[in-house]
Amino acid sequence: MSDSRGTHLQSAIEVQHLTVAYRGSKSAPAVLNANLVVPRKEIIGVVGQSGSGKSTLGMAVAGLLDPRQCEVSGTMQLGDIAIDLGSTENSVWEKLRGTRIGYVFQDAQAALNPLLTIEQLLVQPQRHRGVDLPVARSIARDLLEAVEIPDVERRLRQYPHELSGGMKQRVVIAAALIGKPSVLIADEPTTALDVTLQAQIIRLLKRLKDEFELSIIFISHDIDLVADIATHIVVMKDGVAIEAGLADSVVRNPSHPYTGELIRSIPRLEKVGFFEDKEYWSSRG
Amino acid sequence: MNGTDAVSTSLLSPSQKIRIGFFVLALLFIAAALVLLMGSYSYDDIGAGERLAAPSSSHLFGVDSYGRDYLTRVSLGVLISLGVGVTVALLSIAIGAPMGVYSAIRGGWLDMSIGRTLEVLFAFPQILLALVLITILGSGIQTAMTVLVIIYIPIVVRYVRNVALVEAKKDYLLSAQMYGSPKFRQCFVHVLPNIQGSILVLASSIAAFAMIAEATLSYLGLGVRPPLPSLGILLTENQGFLSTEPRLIFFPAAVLVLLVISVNQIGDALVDKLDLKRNPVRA
Amino acid sequence: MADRETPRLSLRGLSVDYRIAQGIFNSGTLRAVRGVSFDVSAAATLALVGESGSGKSTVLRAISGLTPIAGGEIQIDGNSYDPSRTRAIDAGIAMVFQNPNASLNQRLTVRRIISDPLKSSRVKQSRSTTVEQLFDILKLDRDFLDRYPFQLSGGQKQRVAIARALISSPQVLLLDEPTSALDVANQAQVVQILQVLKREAQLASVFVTHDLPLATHVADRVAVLYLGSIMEIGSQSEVVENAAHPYTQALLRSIPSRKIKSSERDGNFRMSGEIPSPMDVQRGCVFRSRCPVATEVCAETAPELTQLSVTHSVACHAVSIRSSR
Repeated sequence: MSDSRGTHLQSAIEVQHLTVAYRGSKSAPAVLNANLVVPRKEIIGVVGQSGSGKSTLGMAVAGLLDPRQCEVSGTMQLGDIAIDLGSTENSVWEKLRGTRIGYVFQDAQAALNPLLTIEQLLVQPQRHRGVDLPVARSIARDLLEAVEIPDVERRLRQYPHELSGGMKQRVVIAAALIGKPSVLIADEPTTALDVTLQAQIIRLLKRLKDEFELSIIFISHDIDLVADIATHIVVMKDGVAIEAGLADSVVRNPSHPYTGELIRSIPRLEKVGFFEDKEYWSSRG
Repeated sequence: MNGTDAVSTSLLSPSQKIRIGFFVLALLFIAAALVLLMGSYSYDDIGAGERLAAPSSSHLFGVDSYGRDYLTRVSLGVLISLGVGVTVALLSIAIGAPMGVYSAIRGGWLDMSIGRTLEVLFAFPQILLALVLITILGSGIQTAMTVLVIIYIPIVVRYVRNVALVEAKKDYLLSAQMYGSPKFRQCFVHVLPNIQGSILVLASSIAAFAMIAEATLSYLGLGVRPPLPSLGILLTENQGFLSTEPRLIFFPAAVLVLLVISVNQIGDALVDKLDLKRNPVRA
Repeated sequence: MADRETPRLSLRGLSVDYRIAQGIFNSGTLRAVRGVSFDVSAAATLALVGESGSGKSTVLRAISGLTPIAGGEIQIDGNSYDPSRTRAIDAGIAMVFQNPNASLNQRLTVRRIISDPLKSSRVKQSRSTTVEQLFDILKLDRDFLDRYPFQLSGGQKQRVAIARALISSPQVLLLDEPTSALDVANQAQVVQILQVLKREAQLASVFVTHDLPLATHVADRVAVLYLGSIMEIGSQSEVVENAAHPYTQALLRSIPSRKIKSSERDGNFRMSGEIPSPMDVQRGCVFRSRCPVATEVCAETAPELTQLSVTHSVACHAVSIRSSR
């Protein structure tokens, strides 16, 4: 891609006036007039409860919504490319998803074809794009190493069911990175995982962000998790982005009452004074 | 995900299919009943008209080779075939479904022995089974239905048992087990109502199969005995006229096809409809 | 009524095995719960915290008789209780499952769902008054009685499930992740109701969850489970503020917090790897494969629970060596 020196160098993605309505549904649109700016090499968190439209937003930005089922409108500036979210052809999206946008699904089990080995899963998409087999293979190895999977040679020959949940999610992340995208959309990538694995995946995403110069849209229902990983937060409710801003200020001084509700409703260790004591973390371990 | 309808490959919604299916069945049933009640001919009245007379205002379907009014015979055939289908389905479900559910929930030696018995029954050629029973009981409509019920019961038991085994792993049943609900209650208060949809679908398939099977048995001379007409008998009786008087084959065949398609459509649509109900799409 | 000294529910060395297939012809057993012991008094809640594969739900299933016990003893009010002989409901045990959509029979009305346990139990009561009283306690509209579960919201359904558990007037309430299928507003409500019940009905509750912050919020005592063994057990403040076991510490550090970002705590403790398969754990401490302080002794013998205080115990060789010095 040629790097034209436009006005959009500051942000990796700018979404404007995104509206998604499911066809034949009488209820309100799943996403209504949402704007989203993802700064370069930053993580932006989209937080909301189920049904808030946060996943729909992520899928719309990756062009994953089926136009037969939903009506999409809005525009997106992806680096130097302007995209009409409503009318862009699927073939264009496929190219974009291969090279500019990566997508990490929540359910790693469902995202990996159980009949293919890990190597095939990582090599085949490259072969479709005409990459030579030896090159594709070495890229697959590099990617597995990048997502911190130990014993790469053995893992490459295994099938998804032979991997644990955390490993599978790492493979899904590796698959999303195949085309060296500049934007990664992660839809609840840790929700199916245990908390210690979640912490590992979060650390991994942060590292990959720096290493691959990624801008990440991190979608989650957990405002604590989002506040931990993201620099910016967008709070979604009933398809509307009701609050957006720097993560710290949104969490400390929520301007919308609903955000406050989200924050209060999660029982936290702070209540027993756990995280008050910063000393704890330096004195132990 | 948002509350959108599942993408359907069909032009008609499940409810429409069910409505149309029942409408066609009701239409055939009422028409046939009216013909028998109001018509001026009896099904075995060989003096009703001139042999092989073509359709006319007095004989809408014409007359068969014995001089019997063909509309009257086809109408009675419809009622007999429908009756056989419905009765066989009801009886085999009524006997097989409780066995299947109880076998799955009770488990243990009973489940084992039912399972082994089924395997033996499945290994036994069905047509041979039919012949043996007919030799013992003599051919006739009751025998034909008995044979079909006996053939379908193992299928029902196995199917219902499998469905119930899936149910048995669900939390509502574990919960019932935990508070010590008796096995009988587990079967008939908990599991059976929750699998009634699957059973209904199975019943519609059996009804459709039974109608065809009855025609086949009758065709082989093992089912309904002439002069009583079932759709199968009508096809047998008149097979010799296929080239000269094709209407004699066309009417019963068309009606049989219509009956079976209607029943199958209802079953198909039930699958779609119940599937939606089981997984309520969350808004 | 038992005297004050006797805990309402008491587990002594409870073990549970699962049969697993090894190849086509052999089947082996897999120890899912390894000698778990704890006490729960009336009006107290013990939280069993663990990740998937920790055996936390299996403990509940064993107590409720849904899974056979391989070893150990369960006592209710000091009397031995064998789930394979006595029905849980008759022993005064009731259970609330994780997802009310799955645990309620969708084909029955709410009234029938709630009163169904009485049809199976020796515990008979004047039914209609009890159901109505329960509805008042649980802040459920009496109109719901003649509705079906699918007509209720998630939070309402879970309260119906709680009502069904309470109809037999249990003394022990087992809760298997009762809030994890609910959205946050309903989670808070269900937790609040459980707190009230515990006091009012003097229930001894076992609350199973994967969520350590939630556990400290609802429980008086917290037991941390790893691969079927208790790693650490103590009051909520002991387990959270004075976490002694390396696993508990790792768990605490994995919890996302907006106050101290994970990047600020990364340097101290990193637990790598994942929970191994229980089949791979033959000898020694179950946590040793991920433990940063494991030594040879950890591979040889499994550590016993050692008391650090009257209420706080830890199963870790490193900790017992440190405290014995």
